[in-house]
Amino acid sequence: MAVTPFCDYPPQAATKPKVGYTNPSIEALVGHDPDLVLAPREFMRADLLGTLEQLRVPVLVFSAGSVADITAHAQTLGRIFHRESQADIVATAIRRQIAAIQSKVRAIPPRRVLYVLNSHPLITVGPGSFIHELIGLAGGSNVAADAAMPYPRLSMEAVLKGDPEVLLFPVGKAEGIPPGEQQVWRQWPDLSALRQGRLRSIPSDLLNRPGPRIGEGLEALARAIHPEAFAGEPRP
Amino acid sequence: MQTDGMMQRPSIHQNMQNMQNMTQDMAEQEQDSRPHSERANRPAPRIMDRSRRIARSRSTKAFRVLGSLAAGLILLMILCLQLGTEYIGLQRMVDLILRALRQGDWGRESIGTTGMILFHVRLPRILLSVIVGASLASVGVVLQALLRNPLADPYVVGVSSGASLGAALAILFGIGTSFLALTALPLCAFAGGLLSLVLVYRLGATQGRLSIHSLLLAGVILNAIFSALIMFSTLLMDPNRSFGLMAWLMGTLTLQVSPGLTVLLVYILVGLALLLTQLRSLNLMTLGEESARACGVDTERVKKRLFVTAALVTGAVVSVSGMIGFVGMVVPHAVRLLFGADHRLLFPASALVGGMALLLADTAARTLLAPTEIPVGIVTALAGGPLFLYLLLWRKDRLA
Repeated sequence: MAVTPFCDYPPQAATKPKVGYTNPSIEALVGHDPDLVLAPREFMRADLLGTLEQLRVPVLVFSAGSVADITAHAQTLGRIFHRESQADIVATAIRRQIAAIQSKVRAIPPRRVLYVLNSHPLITVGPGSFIHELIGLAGGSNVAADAAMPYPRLSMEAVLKGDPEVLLFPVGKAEGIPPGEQQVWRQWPDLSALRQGRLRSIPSDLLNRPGPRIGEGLEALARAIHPEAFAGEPRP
Repeated sequence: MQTDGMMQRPSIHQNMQNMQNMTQDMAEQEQDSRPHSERANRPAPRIMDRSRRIARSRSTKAFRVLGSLAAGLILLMILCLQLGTEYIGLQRMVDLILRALRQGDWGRESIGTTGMILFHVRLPRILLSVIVGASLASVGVVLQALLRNPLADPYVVGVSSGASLGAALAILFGIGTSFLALTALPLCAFAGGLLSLVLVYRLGATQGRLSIHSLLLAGVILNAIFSALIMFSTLLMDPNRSFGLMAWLMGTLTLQVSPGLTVLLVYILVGLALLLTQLRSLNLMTLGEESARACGVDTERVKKRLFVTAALVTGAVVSVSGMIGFVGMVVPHAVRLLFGADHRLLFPASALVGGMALLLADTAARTLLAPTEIPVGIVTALAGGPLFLYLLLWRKDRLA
């Protein structure tokens, strides 16, 4: 088994041999004589797929655009590797986690959320993106819901009009919100999120990678948007 | 003309140069050689009178042209101020201004969200696009005259890609996310621009002389190297950061902090003022360096001064707005076709038209897909590129 240089979950993945990411080394890839190559759609180039097909390397391309896709993919993999029952357990666990979080936030009125991928220029998530769906599930309403694309550059005018109550900053492990980003937002002290001090960081790995940890990701998101719903519960 | 290889090659810029010389009317040539002839031997009084009269009629023409362009720019600014994610009419604007003045407060309490959008988002952005557009076009005029090449613009000489590389490295090494980000990123961009300027300059200078041909070539090659380095730096970056950088490079006219606008304004105004003092020499330089030297222009000094100032203005502009192409290339062209090649008119007119062009492009970028914005560099390239090709065809037809 071989992985990309970015794979760090489960922790054993980090010790596996690497074959590269968006520009994988075909030689290294073929050198491992894989039975199956799993690839996300957005990072799999057509020419690469063609080459792998010529070399008779089987490829399974995933496109996980929604939570339903993730459980479906888990079950597909279960069938391929003859681990149907384990896959079902994983899929059910994910669904149960999501249902539990939804039941916590359902009674609370949704908060307006802006998910800040990049502050200057402002890039956020819009309809069609995986995170947009998760924000809805976590009891938030996305300020960029009118945007025309999954990862729009949102106009500051739209932000002022939408007046987000929570600003979410996806960050790496054990990282706070970068001070530079905070400084950008301090220009707008009138936004509800700044008046109420709701600038929150969120572990980007949990949300940006549609996989089995999506329940954890959704919980982190719901805690960031509605911390009061989780009062008294220890952080996982 | 200096033997810089331009004469031997019957290429686009050759044609352009011919055209330019043809369209320059005799009166201008006569006038341009005036300082020389005055110094050498006093011309006959009759010619003096005539050239004075021509000068006077030219200055009224310039006055008229610049006046109407400035009025057009102001009207366009007022129009664009109304457009955005929501329409804000003139009546509403006046109301908001009056209310803010009465209460002496420009915050949300007195003017509401609409007022915040108008005065704190839209107005600064419109001012910035006019400043950036005007600077890009002015620098384009200077570089086209200096390099005697219609393809020259701030981007061709490598300054902008050097500046972008500076920004890319700042982000790669984490300066872009540190506390200093807001000041450090533009500074790094600026340093990169300056570095590429020095490199281009060193490569272009042979035996104490600035050869325009090798300068241009060096610029093109440095551009390619810097672009490759930028691509390489995005490979090393966290993917989350690299797309932020790419987005920034595609052109951004949102301002991070308001003091930035003041600093930039001072910077650019000083730069443009310095360029303004050189317009007469610039006119002579377009006739060829030999002729310019014969007219008493210290060509090497003028070249150095103009080139350094143009690069500094470009560096400042790129450091706040990223890469915005084609404004510096197309606007001087169009203005030259409309109003002639006298730089005393061409330079300020291009600045005004450049401001209008980028203002229009940015308004399109803000409004076409609202609330999503299109990177303004994409709009200028998509609008400016075809326009440039059209101008090329048009010139070719006229020459044939």
